[in-house]
Formats: sequence, structure tokens, C-alpha cells
Amino acid sequence: MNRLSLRFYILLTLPLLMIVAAFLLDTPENMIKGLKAIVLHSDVLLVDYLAVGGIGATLINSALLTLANVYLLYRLKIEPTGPIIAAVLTIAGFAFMGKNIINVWPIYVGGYLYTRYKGTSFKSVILIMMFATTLAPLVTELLISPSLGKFGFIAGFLGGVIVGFIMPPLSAHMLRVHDGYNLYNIGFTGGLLGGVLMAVKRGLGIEPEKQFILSSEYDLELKILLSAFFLFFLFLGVYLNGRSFRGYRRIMKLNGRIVTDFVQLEGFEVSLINMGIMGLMGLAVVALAKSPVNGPAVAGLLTLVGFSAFGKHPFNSLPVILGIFLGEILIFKNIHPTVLAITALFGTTLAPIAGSFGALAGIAAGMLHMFVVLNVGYLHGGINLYNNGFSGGIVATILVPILRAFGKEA
Amino acid sequence: MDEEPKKIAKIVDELVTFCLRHGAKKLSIHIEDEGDAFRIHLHVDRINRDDPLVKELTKLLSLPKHDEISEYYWTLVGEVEEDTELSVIGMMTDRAEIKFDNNSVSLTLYRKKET
Repeated sequence: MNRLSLRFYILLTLPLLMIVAAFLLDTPENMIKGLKAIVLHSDVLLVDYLAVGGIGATLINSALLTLANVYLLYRLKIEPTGPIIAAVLTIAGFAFMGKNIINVWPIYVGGYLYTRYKGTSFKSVILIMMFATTLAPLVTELLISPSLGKFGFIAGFLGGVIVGFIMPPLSAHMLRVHDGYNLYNIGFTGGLLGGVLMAVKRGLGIEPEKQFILSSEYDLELKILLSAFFLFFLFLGVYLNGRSFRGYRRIMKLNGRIVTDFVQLEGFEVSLINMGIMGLMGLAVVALAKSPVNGPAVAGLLTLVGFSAFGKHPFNSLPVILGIFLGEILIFKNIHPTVLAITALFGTTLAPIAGSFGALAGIAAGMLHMFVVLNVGYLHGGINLYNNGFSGGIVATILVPILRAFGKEA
Repeated sequence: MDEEPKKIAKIVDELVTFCLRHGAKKLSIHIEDEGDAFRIHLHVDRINRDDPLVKELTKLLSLPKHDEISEYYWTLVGEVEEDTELSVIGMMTDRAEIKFDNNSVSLTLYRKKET
């Protein structure tokens, strides 16, 4: 693979679009100031970089992180398949709420050291590392800790290296716990690991401060940017697919359980169509929850679209989303609109349950997820960005054996 | 710990389970360590060729090798009762030869050892 393939070019459209938008919406001075604020701000859930650093800095942060990861993939000669597309867009999204140009890299260094220790290639763990940046807030917490002072930099670096070093065996083991029914497996792994780390921290008398920083300032700009991006995927997919939706029905018949790589199984073109449709559907979900499009919503939307190349489609996602909205209407009521929106978007981590055991099972999974996700954040103190992946792992672990024993496969 | 033997065992587990669930009445397995690679050969009699997944067997087992995917997800192979991980086997192996003959099928998979 000497030259960039079409898939790489298409992946590059998002960061390039973000850079153009950043310069249209903000000044370079503001961007530099905003990037500094982002890097030095606590990333414990829930923080919206748009509120911390402004629109220009947030877009540049996401664009740079995405470009760096795409470059890494290119250098490692990895062709973007479904899981890789999911990882790239997850990083682009979470660069709006917790991952930044500084705090992710120690984790990659840890992954590299793991491959040196095992005598394998870095290529074999790159996918795990990209998802493992879920624990990037741990790096920042140590970096800016007042009690560590100037040693914070070293502690943050070492913390990230340790996470990267132990994540490959941990994440592979955790897959077997839920049998691949929770798409954000590293969210589950990160939640458990974060829980252990936070218990140690609490034992030392350090309690993380909760945050709830949200922006609603850039709703319109982000709606336009994301709609354009999702429509681009949809139309390009249709065009490349011979100006048709041929093969899309086959995608919707797949259950979505890990490893269901739409790109390899049904083709890149039809996967693009699914990504575009799911993105537009995601925007409708955010509107239905009455939330503005802010940092966490962008993270939810881009993750949803990324995983629409790797497991999610309307048939297996909508029942879970319905279950989450039903939970809100019937039981919880008055949940913050952004919390509802991101729970509905990220809750589709459980889409394989609907795909495998039917729509009713998907609705039940969504409702159960609504209960669990609101209660597990305390355990890891907010340092695991994929809190819904953690919750999804717990729900799938409990629900799948029951459905397997008493339910009926779809 | 060398994970290679476990990976070969899980590939065989997945394939045997798949074949038995799809009508196999007689099945023979041959595994050979060829030094730099493992060769896994299965001969299966009376497999249900009308089953949609059996029809997809060649496509799934012939997927290109992807270390970045298989090194993360290989632990799922051979684990789940109600589903298959044939695509992961495809991504774990370097070459697959699949030959159908009436209702029997011969599968030969090659996996280079990790260095």
C-alpha cells in the first residue's frame, strides 16, 4: 500500500472539513489560547471542550488527533476496515469531550512497549490503542494534579503508559465476558480498570471532582457541519455503489455482534450509505431529546457513524434507542436533554442484542442500560470516557445468558 | 506465554462446532506444524450446502489477513453457541483452500507463526 486508497481519502475529509470550519468560525489567536485551555483542563466526565476552549480550538484538536491517527494507520500499512473506521471516528468524536493532542500519546507508548515485550508488531495492537484512549482523562488528572506539582507530567505519562501496556490482554479477556454483544468492549474494560485505579486513588484520600460543563453556543454551526458530512457519506456511497442502495438490505440482516465488519462483508460503498443514514438518524435522535448539538453530542454522533461500518444499522439500533426513550418517559422523566441524547446514541453499543435476539430484547436492553448507565460513573470517577460502553458491558453480561437460555434468536 | 497453540485450538473448535451444527455426520481433522506455519485440514461429510452460512463459507474463510483485528478479537473464536466467528478465522489465517464435492467439503487453512 504505497499510495493512499480511496478509503483513506474519505477518512481525511472530516478533519480537513474541520480545519476549514475552524478558520471560518474562529481566529488563530483564539485557537491557540483555546487549545492550551483544553490541554490543561480536567477531562473527567462530563466536560465539553466547546465550552472550555471554543469552537476553533475544539475543531483543530479533533482534526489534529484524527490526522495523526490516520497517518499512523497509513505508516503501518493498515487499510481502513470496519473496526478501523469505527476507531478513527470515535477518536474524532471524543476529541470534543476528553481526548486531546497531549493526553492520548502515553497510552500509545504503553502499547508499543507491550509489543516490544511480547515480540510482536505495533500493528497488531494499534486498534486496541486507539480505543484505549478512553482512559486519556487519567493522564490529564495526573498531569494537572496540584498535589503532584512538577512531577505531574511524569506521573501522567507513566499512568498512560501503564494503561497502554496492560490494555491488550485485558480487553481481549473482557470480550469473552459479554461474548461480543457490547460493541464498546474497551469501554467495559476501561470502566473496570478505571474503577480499580479510582479505588486506589480514593484510598489515598483523593476524590475526583465531578464536572458537568456543557455548551449550547455552536448548535447551528455543528448541525450544518455534521449534516454536510453525513450527506456526503450517503451520496458518495450511493454514487460509488452504482447509484443504488444495492446490498443495503443484506447489511440490515446482519446481527452486528463483534466481529461484524460491514466493510469486509458487504463492501465499503454500502457501508458508507449506512454510515450516512445512521448519522442523519443520530441527528434526529439529538433533536428528539431536545438537546443542542454540543461536544458530547458530537462524540455520540461520530461514534455512532463510525460503528455503522462495524455492527450498527437502523434495524438493530432503533429498538435500543426506543428502549432508552421509553425508560426516560415511563420511569426517569426530566433527565437532562444532553444526557438523554448521548445515552440514546451511545446506548446503541447494545445493538447486537436486538440484532441477535429481536426488537423486544433490544428495547429491554435499552431500558436496562438507562438504569445502569446513570449509576456506574461513580465507580471509575468519570475517568473512563466510554461510560456507556462500561454500562453496556454490564447489561450484556447479565442479559445475554438469560436471553440465550429463555429467549429465541431473531 | 505462547498463544499460538491456543489460537490453533480455537480455530479448530469454531470449525468443528460450525460443521456439526450444519449437518456434518463424519468429520476428520488433521493439524500439522510445518515449522514456520500451521496447516489445519478438515474433511467433512454431509454438510448442509443449502444453509446460507455454508454458502458463505468460502467468502468468510478467505478474507484477507488482518493482524490488527484478529489479535484483538481472536479470543471470541469458538466461544459463542448461537453465532459464528468464521470471518475472524479468515482474518487470522494466511490462506484458505475450500473444496466442495457433492455434500462433502474439504477445508485447508494455513497460519504463519508469529515471529
